[in-house]
Amino acid sequence: MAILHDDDARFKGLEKKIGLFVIIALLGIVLTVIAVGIQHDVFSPKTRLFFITDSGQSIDEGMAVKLSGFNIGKVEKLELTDDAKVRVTLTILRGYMKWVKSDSKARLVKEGVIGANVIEITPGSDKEKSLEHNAQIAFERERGLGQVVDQLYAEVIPLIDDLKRVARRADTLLAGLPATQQKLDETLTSARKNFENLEKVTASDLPAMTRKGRETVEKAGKVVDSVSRTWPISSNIKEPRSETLPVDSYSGEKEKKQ
Amino acid sequence: MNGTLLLGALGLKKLVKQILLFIFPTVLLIAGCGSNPPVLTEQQEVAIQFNQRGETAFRRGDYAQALQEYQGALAIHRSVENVAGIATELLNLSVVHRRLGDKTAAQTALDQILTEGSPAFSAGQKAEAAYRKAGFYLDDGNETEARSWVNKALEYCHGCGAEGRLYNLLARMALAGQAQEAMNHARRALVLNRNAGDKNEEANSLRLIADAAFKLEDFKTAQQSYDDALRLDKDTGAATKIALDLMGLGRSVARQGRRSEAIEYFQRAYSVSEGAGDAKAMDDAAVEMKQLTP
Repeated sequence: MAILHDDDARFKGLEKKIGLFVIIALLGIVLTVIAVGIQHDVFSPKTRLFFITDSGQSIDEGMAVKLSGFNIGKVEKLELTDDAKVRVTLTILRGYMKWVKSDSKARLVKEGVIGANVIEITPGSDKEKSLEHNAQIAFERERGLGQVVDQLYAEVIPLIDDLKRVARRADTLLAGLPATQQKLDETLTSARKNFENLEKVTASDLPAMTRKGRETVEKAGKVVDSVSRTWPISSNIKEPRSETLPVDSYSGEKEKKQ
Repeated sequence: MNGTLLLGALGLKKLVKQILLFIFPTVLLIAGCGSNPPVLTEQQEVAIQFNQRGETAFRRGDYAQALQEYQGALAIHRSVENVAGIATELLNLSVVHRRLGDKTAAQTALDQILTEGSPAFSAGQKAEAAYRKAGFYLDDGNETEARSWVNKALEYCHGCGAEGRLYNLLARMALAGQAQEAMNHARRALVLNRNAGDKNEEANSLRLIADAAFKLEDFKTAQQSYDDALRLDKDTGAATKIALDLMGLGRSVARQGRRSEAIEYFQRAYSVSEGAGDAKAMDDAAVEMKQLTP
């Protein structure tokens, strides 16, 4: 006994319904694919550029290519050239190519200290032309932490050597210090004795000598003063006196500027 | 023989005695003639030091400092009523005030000497103050006041040191319209200044004679007097006046038709003015040269 009869009204046009359902589903899948494609710039026109580098280290396919922080493309592929270098092909969205000029540079940089590696392209100058399809772009690699450490190491090592030499020299000097100190003590003792002797001499003889010298100079001064005031010597010595500023009768007071 | 020797010895003794009698009064006479100069008091010495520092500051153009120093000297002279010192410093202050642009203060300083109630300033000091007032008025273009003060100065002055300068001022005032009167005053001034031994004012008199002679179109006298003035001005080293003399010589020989000689004088005047940094005098010489260059 059949549960469902072929002539059941619900089965009428079933094939058509299934066909329509499949078509709608397929259409939906296609539209989704297209939408995703558009979102990922699959259908946007692109320009290929390449650069040559010694090593492909830290460069991967699919790596983002950025310009001023914006994603403008990606690394399409890496190939080994005949001379064992690496040719890296970039695809750049054509809309951004107006900033990628012949003097632009591609640099491998790290986004932040622990961020992912990206290829960053520097904007070119206005006067330069935009790069053509399949053109080569200059490339440089940002110095990594290891390279920085290497450079610091190269500079610090000679400094450390110098410090070691200074320390050794200081050791040598300090070793001789007790002897020098002893000599210095002896010299100071001798100097103190000399000063004591000098003090004895100056306390007794020097004041008398100074007094006599001063008296002699004063007497000599008086003699010279008296002689200088005596005629005819006095007539040759101009006595100090107050002078009057002249006023010229021809050119007035102006002339006195000379 | 012994008698002859004795006579000779007595004669020698007499001769020595006579020589000593001559030398002793002569030495006394010389010692008497050599009178000692008066000893300066401590205040006088300090005042002189102020005065000398004031003059040094004035020569280097530091008029504010000169004012301070001269005021210091004046205060000391006033404290001991040293009339000559007070007059000297007031005369100096009048010049310094003029340099600082304070014409009123300059006149006030001179008025202190000329005021009747002031200490007994001498006629010579008053004549000097009146001469300066006349000069300042003339510099300011007030010829009436200048003439009045010259006359007052001449009243005070009886053989004073300012007489030659006063006649120079009179000649300077007459030069504009009365060349012959200017000539007469300048000639009188020349004699007075020459007798006083004032080379600077003697040169001024000669230049005024030359200026007057030029106005009277006596170009040979003008040339001669400018030349004499130039010789004296070179001795005193007054660059502005040397340039004026050379300009006068140039103009005098030009009017005698000696153009090339005149150009040489103007070139010398230009060079002297250039050395002294006097741009206006350089322009004057250049204009004269241009007029003579064909």
